[in-house]
Amino acid sequence: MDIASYFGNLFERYSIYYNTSKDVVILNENVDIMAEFKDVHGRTFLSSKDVIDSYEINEICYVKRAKKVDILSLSNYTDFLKKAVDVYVQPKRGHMCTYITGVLVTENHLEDDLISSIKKFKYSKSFFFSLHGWCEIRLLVINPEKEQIITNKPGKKVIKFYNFR
Amino acid sequence: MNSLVLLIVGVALFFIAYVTYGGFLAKSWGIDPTKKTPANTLRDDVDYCPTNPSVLLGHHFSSIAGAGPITGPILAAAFGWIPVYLWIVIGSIFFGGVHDWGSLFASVRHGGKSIGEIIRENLGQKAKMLFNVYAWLALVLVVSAFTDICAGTFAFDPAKGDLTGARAGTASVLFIVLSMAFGYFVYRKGAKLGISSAIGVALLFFCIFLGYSFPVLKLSKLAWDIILIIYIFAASTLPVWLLLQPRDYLCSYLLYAMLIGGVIGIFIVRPEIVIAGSNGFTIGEGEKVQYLFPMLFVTVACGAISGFHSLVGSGTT
Repeated sequence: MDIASYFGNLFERYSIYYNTSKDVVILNENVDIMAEFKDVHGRTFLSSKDVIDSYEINEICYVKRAKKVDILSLSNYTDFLKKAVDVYVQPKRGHMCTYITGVLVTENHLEDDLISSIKKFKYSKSFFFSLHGWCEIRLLVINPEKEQIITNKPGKKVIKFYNFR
Repeated sequence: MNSLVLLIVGVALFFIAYVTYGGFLAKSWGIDPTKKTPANTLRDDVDYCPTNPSVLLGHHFSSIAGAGPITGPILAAAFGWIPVYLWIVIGSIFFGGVHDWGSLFASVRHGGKSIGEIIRENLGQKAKMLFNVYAWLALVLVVSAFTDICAGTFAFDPAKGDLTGARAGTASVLFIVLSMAFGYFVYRKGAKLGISSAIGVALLFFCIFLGYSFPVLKLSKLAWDIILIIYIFAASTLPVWLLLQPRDYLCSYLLYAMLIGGVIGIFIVRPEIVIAGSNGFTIGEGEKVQYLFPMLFVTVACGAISGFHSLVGSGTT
């Protein structure tokens, strides 16, 4: 599958449940697709304002097209994702977790050491001993032409969403 | 009287009522199965989202199946099993079922609004405020009543030496610890739900076994009152995923197991009911006297009327 078709297809999939934006600059990083999802579970009593208990789960996806992905560019991208955690994650009572999903889409060949770095990448942060929730980074690097998806461990949970259809 | 007869008669009466009285109410209220619900007409996948009926049934069943329907009939059996049985059957058919169904259907016909909003729309803001005050007072009463019942159930009296309460209390505390561990491993550490559920349920029954075999928490009623108040505070302030949700999830397995086990047990053993059918309108003497009316209807409340579910039902669906 060519990269343009993959982007178009991915944007349509995001649009169903996510608030999406194209070609945005986030923390001085050019992002091709940004998709935000918020899921609030709660029980109410007499009216919708009388909340008995609730919790929210968020996901922010940053999809970026990269001409070349190597160890250095991967490191820069993961640094960007970590900065996004500090800036955009809002821990509070009722916040369960926020997933920051970083997706790099590339046409170039992925070297073995790069694949190993992607798989080993791990970043998770707890807020107030997890009582105000936590945040986790999912990292995916995708080569649509070779139909190859490499993820870190948390990224495996969403690999089906990024499949080639 | 054989308990199996009561079970079969009860099921038969509920089935007949569902078909006849339920059908009559559906016709009177103009229920149209082809008409789309607000989940479909107002669908925004935020507040309005069609949901699988099985999932909805699970949510409502867990909202309605609380301690009330279990403890109420046990306490009210002091008046004899006949008045309790009659009130449960007649109450559920003509009061509880109608009340629950009616409040949910009112919500459907009012664009999926909660009961408070329906009251405001039909009776005005003052009526809504009055209802809020009443509901809050009723909740305080419910919480204090169940705290007292639980404390009494778990209490250990050294003079009597009965370990039943200590067993239940120890098992319950172990279960709460297990629930928190379950919530932590499933949600925070990402353990797979299927395997965790199997281990969790197995450990749940092990906690009951441990509590029965090693009833170490031999505490007075006052001590349990204090512990339970602290627990209530913790449960309402800790994250939902850490205590409430895993506790309710594991508890649902216990509930289904008890229900299924109880029904199977009645079919296999067919025990005779040994307590008296009726002990009259008045029981007890002097200061401890109790009257059938209103005490039967106060103790068997959730088991026949289930007001609480009608309040949360519209917020659940």
